[in-house]
Amino acid sequence: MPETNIHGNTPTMRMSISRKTLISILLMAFVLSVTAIIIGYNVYSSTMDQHYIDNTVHLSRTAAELLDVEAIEHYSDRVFSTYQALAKGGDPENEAYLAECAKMENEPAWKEMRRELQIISKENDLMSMLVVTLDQEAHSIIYVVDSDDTETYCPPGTVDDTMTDQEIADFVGSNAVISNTEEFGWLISGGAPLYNESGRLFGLVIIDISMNDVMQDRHDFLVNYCLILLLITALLSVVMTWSMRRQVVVPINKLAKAATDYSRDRSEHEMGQEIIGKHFSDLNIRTGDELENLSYVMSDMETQLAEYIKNLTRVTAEKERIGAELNVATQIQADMLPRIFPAFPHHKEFDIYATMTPAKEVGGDFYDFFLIDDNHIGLVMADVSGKGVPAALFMVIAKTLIKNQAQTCDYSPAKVLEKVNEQLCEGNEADLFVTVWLAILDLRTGKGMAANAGHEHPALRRADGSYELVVYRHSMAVAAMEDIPFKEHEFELHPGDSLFVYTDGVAEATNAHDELYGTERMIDALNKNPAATPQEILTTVKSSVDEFVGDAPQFDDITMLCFKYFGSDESKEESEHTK
Amino acid sequence: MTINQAKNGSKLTVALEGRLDTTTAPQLEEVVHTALDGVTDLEFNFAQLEYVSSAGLRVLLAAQKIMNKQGSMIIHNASSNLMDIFEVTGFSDILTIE
Repeated sequence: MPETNIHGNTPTMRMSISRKTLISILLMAFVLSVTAIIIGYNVYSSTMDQHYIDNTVHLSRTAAELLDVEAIEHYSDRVFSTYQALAKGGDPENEAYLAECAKMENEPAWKEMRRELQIISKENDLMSMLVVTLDQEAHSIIYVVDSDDTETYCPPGTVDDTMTDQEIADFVGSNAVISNTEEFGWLISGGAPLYNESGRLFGLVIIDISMNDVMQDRHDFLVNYCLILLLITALLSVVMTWSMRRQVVVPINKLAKAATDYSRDRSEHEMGQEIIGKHFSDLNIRTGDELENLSYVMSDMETQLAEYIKNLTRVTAEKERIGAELNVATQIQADMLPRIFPAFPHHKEFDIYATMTPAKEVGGDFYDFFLIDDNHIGLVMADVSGKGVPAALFMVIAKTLIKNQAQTCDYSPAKVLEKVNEQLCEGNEADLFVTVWLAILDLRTGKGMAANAGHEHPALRRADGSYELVVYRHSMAVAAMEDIPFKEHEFELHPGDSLFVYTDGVAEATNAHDELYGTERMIDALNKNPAATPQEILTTVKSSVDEFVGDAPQFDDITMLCFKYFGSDESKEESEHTK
Repeated sequence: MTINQAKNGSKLTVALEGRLDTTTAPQLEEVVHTALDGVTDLEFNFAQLEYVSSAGLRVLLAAQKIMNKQGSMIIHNASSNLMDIFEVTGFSDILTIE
């Protein structure tokens, strides 16, 4: 029964265990049977043969005792002397000899002797019994009396010279010989020597017992023996195969089916679905051997797998939830930044545009711009160290504090940062800090104050010029350490000037070859069309960064702000005057 | 980056070699968080240090904060590249650089 596995392949099963078992049993039974038959038959045969030989010898001796020795000696000597006189060395069937011998048949003593033989023969179920005399020189025996009264009867004087020396020696030595001839079938012939009172050997008693019955018995024994062995073999094969099926094949098939079902259920119920039933623990294999052990192990494994899947499902769900929440956090963070442009439509003195492209993970970049009063604008570009939720939370606080403090600190960015630093340092266990570029500009005059707390160098373009980095000594990052002083410096924008600030996400954008984008490429991008609007400037830089990075992942937020000053009516008038 | 530490009583000298950036900063952070117990003099030798990124600066800041409480921290042999970084980031205000 080929099982189909989960991938739809049918494993090639050349021969099942049941069939293998059957074949081994049959092979073994055949070898054992043949051996048993050979040994059994031989033992049986030789035992029987020995038994019959002993019986025959015994019988022939008994007969020799029972017979009238004197009468036998008389006739024996008579036959022998007649034989010597008339037949020895010549034709044993010559008429004179036969006639002389035939005379004896009619004598009452001879008849009496024959009757005795016939009685013994009949009583003992012999086929024939005869008395012979020996011509040892010619290796012949000469019949004296034959109990036989069938057509195979041999009259006195019949010479049999077909005997071998061995056979004659066997008879003289009271032994028996088994032979198989076409004439008589299976025969056992036994002989016993006849001695007179003076100890002279004058003849032999020979008895023949038909072995046909015995041989039939032997044949029957063989047939029965084979039949019984065959029956036992068949019975054993059936029992063993059945037992093998029950003990091994069925449990293995059960295990295989459980495994198949398990895989099927696994693929049908996708991850996170209810945990699949107990395939292996429900098997109930009770063989008490390695297979039961295996089923226990499999069931154990299933339980552990179920547990594992459960955990994995839970963890995955948790992860998905966190991921979703982080997405929301990223969105909220982005929403905190002013994103409506033009931001101040009624202020014609400037144009401003800013973007933040968040990296996958929530980060800590932010920009901000706000009017402190009608004449002053605050510009912020900042980057919280680190990433993730802590950085995002820190960013929210920093952004709020900076905007709030900017309202109260007399337009001094250094003061703002000092206050913010103080507040952020309180309970800043996470050792986060934030680099900040903060500028406060008087929109009427274009004059402003700027502080740079560890942030990137801003790029400045004077009207009709090109963008250049403004490099100077910075202050320490905000929240890095308590009570640090912040430096600030004055700057002045003239109509047509523009400012570009950014975070390290721009300068440190990395391509697939691990090369940094760098500020030089950034300045080049800015100067492609330096007179463009802030929005166009940002688009140009962003596409330049994207082109450089290619398919490499974005590790950091990319945040940029561009501010272009057109000048107020006041300042324009002033510049008119100076001209 | 490789970090070689030599401790002599309560004085710990840490020599950095290579680049101290986002990928290597955690190694130094590990040292800062585990090796500064009982240290009163912390000396950094930056002779073989090529670059410090913001992540690296953060670890130096953390070390400085710890040493403010329990002793002093001095940076030796900073190259002009590193000095530029320290200057521009304002770190030269809080670090003792010799």
